[in-house]
This record gives sequence, C-alpha cells and structure tokens, in this order.
Amino acid sequence: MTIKTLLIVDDSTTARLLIQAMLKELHPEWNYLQAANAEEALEILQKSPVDYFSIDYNMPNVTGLELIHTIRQNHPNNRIVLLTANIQPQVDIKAKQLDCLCLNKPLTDSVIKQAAEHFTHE
Amino acid sequence: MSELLQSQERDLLAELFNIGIGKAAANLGIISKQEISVSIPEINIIPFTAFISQLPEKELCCIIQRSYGSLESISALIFSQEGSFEIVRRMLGKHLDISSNTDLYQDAIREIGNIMLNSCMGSIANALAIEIETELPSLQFGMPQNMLEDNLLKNNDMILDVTIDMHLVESDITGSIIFIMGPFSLNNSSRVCNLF
Repeated sequence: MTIKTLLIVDDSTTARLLIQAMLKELHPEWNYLQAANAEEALEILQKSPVDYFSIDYNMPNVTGLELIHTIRQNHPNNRIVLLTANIQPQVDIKAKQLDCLCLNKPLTDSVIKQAAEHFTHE
Repeated sequence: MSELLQSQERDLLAELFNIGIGKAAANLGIISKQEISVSIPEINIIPFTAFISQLPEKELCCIIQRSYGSLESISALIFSQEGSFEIVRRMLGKHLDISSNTDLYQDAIREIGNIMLNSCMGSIANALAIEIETELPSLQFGMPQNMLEDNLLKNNDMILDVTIDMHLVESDITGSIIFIMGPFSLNNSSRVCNLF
C-alpha cells in the first residue's frame, strides 16, 4: 500500500497545525506537508507528489480558489477540500465548479471527519 | 443625530446584526467549548470623534477586519489579553501548547477573529443575498481608540456604530464586536435597509 501525502495550505500556522493534528488521529499513516501560501504550495508540488489537498480560501495575494484552479491544470482528479471561514454560498458554488468539497471553519471533529472521508472516498 | 435612523430602520439593522452575531457567537461557543451570551445590538449614528471617546481606556486585544463590496464596513473583535489567551487555550485543547509560544498565540487569536468576523459578515451577506469580500484580519494590542483611529478616517464624519457585548459564561470572559460603517448618512441607512 502506498503512503498517501496530504498538503495543507493555510496562512494561519494554528490552522495548519490543528488540521494536521486532528487528521493524524484518523490517519497516522499519511505523510503531511504544509504551505503558508499559494507560492509555497506550488513549490512543494514541483518537488513532491501530493495525493490530497486541504486549502484555505482567504490567503494573501492568491486566494484558495485561484490556487485550486492552478492545481487542477495538472491534478484534475486529486481530492481537494477548501476549508474556509467564509460561509457565503458563492464560495461553495465556486468550489464545486472546481470539483472540490467546501467545509467551514471552525475546525471540529465533524468537519475533519468529513474532510477525511472526502479524501478517502472510493 | 439618531433621528437619522427611523425606528423601523433601526429594528431592521438590529435584526441584521442579530443574525450575524448569532452565527459568530455560535462559532465562538464551538471554539471555546462553552455557552456564549450576547447583548442586544446597540446602534448609534454618531460623529467619529464621539464614537472614539466612548471606547474603554485600557489595553485590549483587538482583531480588525475590513469588508467591502455591497456593504463596506470595519469590524473589530475585542477581548482582554487574558481573556483572549484563555479562548486560544481552549481552542487548541490537547493538540497544541501555547504557554511558551507567543507567535502561535497571536496567530491563533487572529484565526479566531477571522472565523468569527467572517461568519458574522457572511451571515449578514447571506441574509441580504449580497456578496461581501473581506480582507485578512489584523491583530493589534493596545488602546482601542488608537487601534481604530489608525483604521478609520480621522475626521468628524458621521458613522454607524453597532456594538454587541459577549460573555463566555463558564470562563467569565467578556468581549465585544463592533461594526463601523462610515461616513454614514440617511441615504446609507435607507440603502442598507432596502437590501432586506
């Protein structure tokens, strides 16, 4: 069985650490990578294969949706979750158009479970 | 100048902000794992200088976020520094320890502000069926007068101020959310109310 790699992209260190800690309880076997913005995320993608993505929406310079649009050009089938504090339906609609699941912060066990299920759903 | 706001318009604005603060308080309850009680929104149209003079004169933790689009405003989440530390500690729970990590504490309280202010403004946008964009929140420590003056026009324009107080029941922490729209006029209030 190959080890899956998840890339967490969020400008908040706290959010990245919490997402990783909570997902690790469900999937300790995964490899976890972190990026604080879109630029860092794209640099990591050039060096490392990534299976799953957890991406924040409101980040400096490039939004999460813009980053997902870029990622989708080379990763059309990878599972992506947009984890955002923005609860407006327009964000959810745009996320669906990019074939990713939009979940709202705050981070709870239920939210993290939904993200994990989206990543692993056959 | 409060006669600028008709009784019906005041009720509508109060309801609008009740919706927003309800969602923000619910999220604060999830984050801090306890019941949150909130006050009735207090709505004033006052000169900016009068608004500034009524703020508490003590050092506080303030997360400020600008919103723009159909409803431009500045929102601020205000807690005591001790209160904000306790909220962060409760959010991180068993996962992370902030006791010796100031950077992480500051990042965490900014993230809490981001979640609360976005959920509040997002609920208001959803109720009005409009779209609101928000900037990244900024975190500041100090006197709220100075912090808000840095983020607003330093003149005597009329502004709409909505203040809601919150109480974290178990931890006995109090805080406030303040919304400021300005410069404000009768036309603005009618425009906002007509969005309903």
